[in-house]
Amino acid sequence: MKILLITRPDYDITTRYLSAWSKKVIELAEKKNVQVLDLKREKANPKELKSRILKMSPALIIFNGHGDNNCVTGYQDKILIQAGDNEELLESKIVYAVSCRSAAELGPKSIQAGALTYIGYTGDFIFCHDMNKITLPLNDKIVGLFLEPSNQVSISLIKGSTSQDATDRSKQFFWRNIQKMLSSEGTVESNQYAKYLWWNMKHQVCLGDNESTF
Amino acid sequence: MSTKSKKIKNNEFDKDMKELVKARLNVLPKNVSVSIGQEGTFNREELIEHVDKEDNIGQKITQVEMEFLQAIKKGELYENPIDYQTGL
Repeated sequence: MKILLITRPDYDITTRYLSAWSKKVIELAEKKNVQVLDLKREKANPKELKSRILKMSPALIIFNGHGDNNCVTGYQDKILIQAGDNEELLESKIVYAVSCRSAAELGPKSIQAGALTYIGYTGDFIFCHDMNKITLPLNDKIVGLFLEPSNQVSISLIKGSTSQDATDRSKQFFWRNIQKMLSSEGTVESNQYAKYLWWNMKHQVCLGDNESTF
Repeated sequence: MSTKSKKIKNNEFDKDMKELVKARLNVLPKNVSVSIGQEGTFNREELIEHVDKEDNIGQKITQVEMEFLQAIKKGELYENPIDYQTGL
């Protein structure tokens, strides 16, 4: 049975949105008979992560959370993986990090340490959302413009696509939404959304083996 | 052009750029916030304030805006990303 590990820290507005929209990924994985190790809220901590990776050896790891050039974090900003510290935990894994900038330094270092593929963002991951929908994040159509494309990486990998195809598909979704925002379908503020969609698309990268599959 | 004139021209450009970024941010609806990773989430007024202060967040917002406008100018936004990456 294939095993997927996903972190969903869910402790501030940004991580709440990422966690909520990851439910769609988890539902699909379960439908495809993938075993899901869901590290939610307090469970998204370095000890739990290490233990689950060593015991269960998931082939795909999806990080949702904050990050920096050299790390990805979990609940309350606890560092989960840091370049030069514990990136060897990602050895032989396909990784997708929905976090800021981690593909700039942690990504390449993880590949050097043996990770199969690292998909992530070399710049800040930026999204817009409706403040009136904070309690119902899945009903927020504005955030959907951003998180539906980013989810395509995970969805495509679960469906069996190669890492490169998963990245391409995600970029196609970003691009499609940018075109919608810039077309006559768009509203006055659409240009503002297009700007951040373009930023995320531009900074999404696939490092390592781009033919790897889950 | 003297160094002094160049400096004045650069300052004018920075001022114009800041006003452009602020004007564009001003169309963001009041109920919409922007999440910028660990920096937090910001509404329209807060974003404009950061641009005014030219702090880290303000500089990031300005960078995104200016690079986006450059991309529009170059026509990059209308090219399929997969095509322009692979050169197909």
